[in-house]
Amino acid sequence: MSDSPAKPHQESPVPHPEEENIASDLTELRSLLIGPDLKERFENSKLRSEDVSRVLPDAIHLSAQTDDSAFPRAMVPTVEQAIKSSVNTDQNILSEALFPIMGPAIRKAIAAAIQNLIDSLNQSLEHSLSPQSLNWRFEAWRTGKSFAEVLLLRTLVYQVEQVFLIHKTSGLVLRHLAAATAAAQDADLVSAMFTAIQDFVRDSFSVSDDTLGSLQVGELTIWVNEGPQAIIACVIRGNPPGRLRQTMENALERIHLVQERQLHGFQGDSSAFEPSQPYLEDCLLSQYQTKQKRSLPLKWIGGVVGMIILGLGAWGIWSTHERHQVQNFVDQLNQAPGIVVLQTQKQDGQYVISGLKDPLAAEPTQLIAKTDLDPNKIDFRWEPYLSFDPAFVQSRVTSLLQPPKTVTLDMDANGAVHVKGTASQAWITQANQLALRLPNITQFNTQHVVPLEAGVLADIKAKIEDQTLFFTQNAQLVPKQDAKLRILVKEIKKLTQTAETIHQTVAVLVEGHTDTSGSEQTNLYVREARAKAIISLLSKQGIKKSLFHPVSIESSEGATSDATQVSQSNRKVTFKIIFVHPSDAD
Amino acid sequence: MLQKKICMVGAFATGKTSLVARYVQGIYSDKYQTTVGVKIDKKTVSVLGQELNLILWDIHGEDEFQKIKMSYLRGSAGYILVVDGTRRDTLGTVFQLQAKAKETIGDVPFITIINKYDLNQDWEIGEEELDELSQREWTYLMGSARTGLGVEECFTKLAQMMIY
Repeated sequence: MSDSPAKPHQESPVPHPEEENIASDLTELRSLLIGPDLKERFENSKLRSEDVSRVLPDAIHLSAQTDDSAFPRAMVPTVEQAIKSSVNTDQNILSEALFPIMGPAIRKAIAAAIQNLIDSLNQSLEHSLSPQSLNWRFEAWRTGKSFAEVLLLRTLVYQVEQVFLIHKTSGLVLRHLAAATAAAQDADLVSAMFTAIQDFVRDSFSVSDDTLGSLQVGELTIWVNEGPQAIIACVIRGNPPGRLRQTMENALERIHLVQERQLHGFQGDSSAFEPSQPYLEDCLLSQYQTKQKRSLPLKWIGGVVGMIILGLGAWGIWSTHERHQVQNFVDQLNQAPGIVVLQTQKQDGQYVISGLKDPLAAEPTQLIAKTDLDPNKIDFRWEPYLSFDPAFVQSRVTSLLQPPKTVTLDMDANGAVHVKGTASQAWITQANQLALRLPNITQFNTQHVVPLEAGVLADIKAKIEDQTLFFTQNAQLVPKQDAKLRILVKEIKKLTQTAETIHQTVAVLVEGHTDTSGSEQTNLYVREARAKAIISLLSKQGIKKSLFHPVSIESSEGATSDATQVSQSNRKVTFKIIFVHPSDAD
Repeated sequence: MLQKKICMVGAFATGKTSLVARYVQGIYSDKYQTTVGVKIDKKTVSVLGQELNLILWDIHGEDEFQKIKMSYLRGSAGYILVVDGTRRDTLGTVFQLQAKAKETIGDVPFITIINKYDLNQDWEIGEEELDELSQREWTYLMGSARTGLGVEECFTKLAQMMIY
């Protein structure tokens, strides 16, 4: 203890007897009030902890009894931390502690899941071999849907018409909800009856913990989920899906959690179960939603299916229309000369038209332009070939032979080409050679073509035959006839060339003439000499000698009035051109 | 609104169903119909200004072949023991049933109605029996489903007992 209470004794050697009394009283009072070890107790944390530990259990117990949630709330963080710490330190402790609870909980969850699965399976099996299923199978066949789709569409139509929250022991209704469209019976009676039935089943079959999960009455199915204090029962029209069980289970769990006290202390006042309403609505509402979802998706599905059908129809019509168009186009192509369509295929939304096409044929891409078809949708694959269409043959003949404008080409059905008009012999010859090389030309008839050269020859012939070369009395040329000679050389050369081009054999008769004076023998000699002299002269100008044939022309004319002139005019050489027909040759 | 589950308990053919029919629907039929399992009815009453929904569980009568399943009584706020005044042994049955009920659901209010008072020539319940009821401090009354005697009173009385 402190020294202060003793101080007065030490510092006042002669204390007043009264003061001494007061001081000792104070000391006594202090020791009475605080006690000798209280200060130590306050300052020594170990001692204080021991003190608190003695009262703590009672304090907690008291706190729990006072219905005050402050203490539990205050404990939450600590407990959470404690659990966390425990798990971190040794997981086994907590896991062993929880094992007895976890096991059944997990088993229950698994059982519920399996039950849901079985419900779904049952539903499927139930509908797999019934007369109705045959109907549905027919529907599936008719609509082209899978049986599963039809099954789903037809079996999932359901509505939770009523939801009961029932007090388990008394069977009294805690809360009752009915769908707006459902005809609700007296909830109190129904609820009590459920409970009675539950009791009956439990007693009759000696199953203490289990409960009747569902009832089937005509179109109505009653699903019952049982909790420790309350039961949720759903009256369902149609075939409920397995997940409804889960919704019910969740609602039941929530209600037990939120309204545990009310459930325990239920004395017939159901108004206390107002807070359960939302959870029960979940069962009903989710069914409403499901119903809406059902009808909505149905509408949607219907809409979508309708759209698809419409789309398919439109597509079908369009595609038929398109196919029709393509077919028309193919027909057009086939009618066009020089195009043979062998195959029309549809590949990746494109039409592939393949076949044979003459290079001279009209361009198909240009033909598309005349239709409504999209050129990008059509792919052509042509193999080149030669068409024997008369127009093409003629065109090919024309382009190959390049006929002059003065001839016309006509082709008959047998492939014979008849040429008329005039053309150079060179062209005629070339054409004759080339034409027959063309396919499908059986005959190339140029008989009726007058070679241009023939006319030229006639002109030359006339020019040459116009020339007369005069002679003196013997075989000497009268001077100043060079011009005539030049003409002769030029024309004869032209004659031979031209004749050669048309394969015309020509002969130039060089006719020697004499006057009548002198003896006939002399005259003959002179005539021949004169002809030969000219032949010699001309051949010296580069003209083949063989072309010329000397001819002696006997003087036939009678006596003329002017004997000298006559004589002079008869001392001459004239020319005669003879065309030898090829057939006449030799 | 307050709801209370009330069970009709008694031997077979004591008139439990008839009492309920008389009380709920105001009718009576001589035709006997045995109850199989439970029949449930409902009646809303006003007791001392308090609206009350009585859910009446008409449990099948007990006989030598069929014992009452006490599980039906669970959650009851009260029960009515029905005695057939013309069959003394039905009183003994209710004594047994009451003991079992007490065992199952504890001390809940109950009332005894001695039915068929209209058949007084066959009446078998005398002073001695009534004394026994008094000794047990049971609330009892005479009644008749046929005439309606004591029926309303019986249910109303039980309702009052349940509230207070």
